[in-house]
Amino acid sequence: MSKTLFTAMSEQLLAFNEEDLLKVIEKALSQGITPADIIESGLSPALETIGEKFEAGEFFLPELIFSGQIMKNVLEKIRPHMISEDNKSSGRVIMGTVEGDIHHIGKNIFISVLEGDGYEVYDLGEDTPPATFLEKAKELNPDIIGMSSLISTGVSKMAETISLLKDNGIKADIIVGGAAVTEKNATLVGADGYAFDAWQGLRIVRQMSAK
Amino acid sequence: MTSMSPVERVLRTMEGKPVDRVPCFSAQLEARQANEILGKPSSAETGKFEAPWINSIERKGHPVVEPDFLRLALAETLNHRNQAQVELGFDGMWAYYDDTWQMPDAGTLALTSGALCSSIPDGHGNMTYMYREAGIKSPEDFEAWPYWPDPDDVAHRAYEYYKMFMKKNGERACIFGYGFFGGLFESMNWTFGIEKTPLWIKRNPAYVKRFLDLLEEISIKTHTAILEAGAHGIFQTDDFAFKTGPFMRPAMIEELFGERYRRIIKNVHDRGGKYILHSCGDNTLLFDQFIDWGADGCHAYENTSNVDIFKEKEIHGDQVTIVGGIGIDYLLSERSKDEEIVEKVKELISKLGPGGRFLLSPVHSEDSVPSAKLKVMIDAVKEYGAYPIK
Repeated sequence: MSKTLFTAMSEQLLAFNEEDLLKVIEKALSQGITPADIIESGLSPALETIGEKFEAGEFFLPELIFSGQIMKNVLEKIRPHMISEDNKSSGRVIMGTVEGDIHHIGKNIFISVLEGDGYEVYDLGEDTPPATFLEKAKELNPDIIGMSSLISTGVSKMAETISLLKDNGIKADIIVGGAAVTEKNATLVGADGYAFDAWQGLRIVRQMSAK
Repeated sequence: MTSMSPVERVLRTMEGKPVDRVPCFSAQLEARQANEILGKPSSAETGKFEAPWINSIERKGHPVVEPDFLRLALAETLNHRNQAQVELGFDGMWAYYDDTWQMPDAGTLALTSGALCSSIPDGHGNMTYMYREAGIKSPEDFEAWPYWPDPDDVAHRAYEYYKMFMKKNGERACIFGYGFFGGLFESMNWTFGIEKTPLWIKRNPAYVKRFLDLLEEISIKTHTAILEAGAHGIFQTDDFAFKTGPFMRPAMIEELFGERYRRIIKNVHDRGGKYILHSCGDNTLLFDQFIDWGADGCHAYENTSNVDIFKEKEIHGDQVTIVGGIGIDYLLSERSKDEEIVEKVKELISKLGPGGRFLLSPVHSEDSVPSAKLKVMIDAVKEYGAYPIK
């Protein structure tokens, strides 16, 4: 029976059918299936498939956004059923567009994908000064810090921000992305990871938080 | 071959007919270039912003601008930019006129189709706009939006402007008009927010339909008015892609926009006009669709995206006119050398010129581009673009 329900969950998530997915999840919960099993056996395989299709050029941005939004709502639905051990996030992330850049779209897409994967994300917004990254890193003790920039001057601001964070003993892994950033200059600014798009970013964040 | 008029040169090129030389096309200018070309001081130098209503608001001490005052300022600003394109010597140009923008407060410009932009300095003594956020975040916002445009009113105003502009310039350049900001897809992204648009499509299809119906009606009515005023074609902007590829599955784009664009473009053709579709980014997966919809030309083939303009010439060069090729990231910036622009122009002409259907153009307009660099580009096309290509 569980296997049938897990298959149904995967099918509904892959069809981006939120209403029917939530019904299947309710049924599973009523049968005593744990939230951890729902995520691991019902939803994660479908999320992997969505990521693979995105990388293969079969799915595009809307499918990533649909799945991220649906997963966010699903997690809200099952959170009350989680026992304390289950009820922890995949990790804590703070995200911001660096100082001097007011663009937000790429950052917000990445946040929705991370939240859909169970991460607890704190959005520092746009035009975020290095000192704010440091202040929030000290306050929230994140596992990962993300920085985004669309404009080329943002890359040097990333370097300044990362340097400030490291000089002040912040241990969180740092991932950077955005139209102005390349793998090469991500390394040069001292980042621990670079994401070409939101899905690649999720993969890297998963690797970072699994360490 | 005897020398042709700019209008004849552009239109014949788009039909794949022999012409005297490759035409040079402009995809709009910004205030900085317009001031340089027309010999006018920047707004800062005159003690007022390019958008003079801002000072006026501050003096009056209230945040809402009278629509008629704003309309006059927009008309002056956009006409200034359009005229500068003619004066610099482009053969063809995108002449944009949209006086429907609103100003809900001193720092905000609102598109009547539902997007909010910040009014910001351009770094050259003028004001410009930067997209800020969706103006419509919920169905309630949609119902309450105060600025939905009246398509007939927009079309009427477009007619009045282009009648005047064509009378003055209609023989000096091939004019592609555009009377309302944003194509159907791009406007959805601006109005609902790019990261929320997919959710609107999924959850609020009736609102999406109402929105697209309105945009299609405005497009058809303003295009009709512009062509009846004498313009040679329409240049419509709709960014379907980012630098790595389309925002959406091509099949989804077809489902949402295909028939609507076929109707929009057929209307242009029925009135004897040519139609150029601007779409930023890498549209490699979409060019077949654009051609199937009826586009006569595509702009911009951004050099900073993954699109390969030379491969596109091989694949689609006999079906659609390629408009673009000159990047603004370096070549048309302060940093480039004039000879580098000339070399790129020569390369583009030699590879894309044969067979016609190529209008050499910047891929964008941007405040940082000096008008002197544009002039180098135009002069190089005139010097090296003569057919037969050497």
